[in-house]
Amino acid sequence: MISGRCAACRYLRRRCPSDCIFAPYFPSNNPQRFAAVHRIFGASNVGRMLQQLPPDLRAQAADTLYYEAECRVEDPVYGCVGVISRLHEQIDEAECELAKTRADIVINSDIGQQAQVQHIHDEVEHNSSLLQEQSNVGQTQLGSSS
Amino acid sequence: MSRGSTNVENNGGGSQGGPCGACKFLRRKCLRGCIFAPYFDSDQGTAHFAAVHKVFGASNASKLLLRIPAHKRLDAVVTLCYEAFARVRDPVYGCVAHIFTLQQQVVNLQAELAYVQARLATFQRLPPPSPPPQPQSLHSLANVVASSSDLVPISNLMMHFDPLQTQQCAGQEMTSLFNPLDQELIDGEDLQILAREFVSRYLPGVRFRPPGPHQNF
Repeated sequence: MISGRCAACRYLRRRCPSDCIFAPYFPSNNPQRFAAVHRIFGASNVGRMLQQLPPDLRAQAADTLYYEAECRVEDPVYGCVGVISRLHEQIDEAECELAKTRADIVINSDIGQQAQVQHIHDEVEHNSSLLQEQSNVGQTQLGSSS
Repeated sequence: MSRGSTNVENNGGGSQGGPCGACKFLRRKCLRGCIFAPYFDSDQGTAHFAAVHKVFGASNASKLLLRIPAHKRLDAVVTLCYEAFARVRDPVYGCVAHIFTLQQQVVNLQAELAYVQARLATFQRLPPPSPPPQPQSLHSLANVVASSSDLVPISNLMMHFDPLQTQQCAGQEMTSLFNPLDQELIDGEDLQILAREFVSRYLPGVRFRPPGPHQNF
């Protein structure tokens, strides 16, 4: 039966058996997926790698093989290593920015804390002088009433 | 894999130096102009080629290298060997496991960066100290003192970074970066000294301006 073949068997132009190792992971609606892994790893290598794994891990392995193959197709020289290198650069940039922002927080909080202390100090001083004035006024009134 | 295992001086295999590592593994005659010979010597190169052969296959590896300019082939061989060894070590994830880890690290760092940037914005939005207020009654004095507690002390703010570190930080180096400050800033006494050290440690080009007695905001 020609219809119902998986993408791998279609690509390889062969009959797709009922226990085809590729069928669960390379559906016919995504032919590009098998084309990529075939180009980089080869059908026999992929089949052997999947066969050697427990069935519950094969789907994950097929996905990562496809990811690696795509990286290598896009960048034939560096493949996944290029992706790793770019991620390290992103991490370095983020760490640098994080350190810089934390330094700014420390500086700003130091300035802010000093401003708070100064503000409270000014308030207390002003209200102390206000208390003194009101105390004087009170004494004057007591003196005049007696 | 070290580049020392490759032999870029040998432009062809075969007749003079014996078979290259690839042809030795494949047990075939190493012809002049062998595509693998410059990159797989007969010592460590054999083991490296074994991994490449197991994962990619000799034919696929050869086609890959032939499609790449000659001056880039060494880099390609190095990365192929890396991926091959990673796949041999981890047949399910290969080198993609490392990519997942790094991607997660990037996400964590970006979240942490967003958080501290929001905190910085909070500091920068605090209103400047107002000029001395108009004469008030005794009743308002209590209100002024009470409202000062709304301004969070620096020690409390710094302590908030500790849970951030444990919750969001992926790398140990980020935790070690901040925790020593947390302990020493609880009482806020050496804030200026620590701030100077922090800035000089991570931003050596930034001059730390000690605050004056009266700051205008």
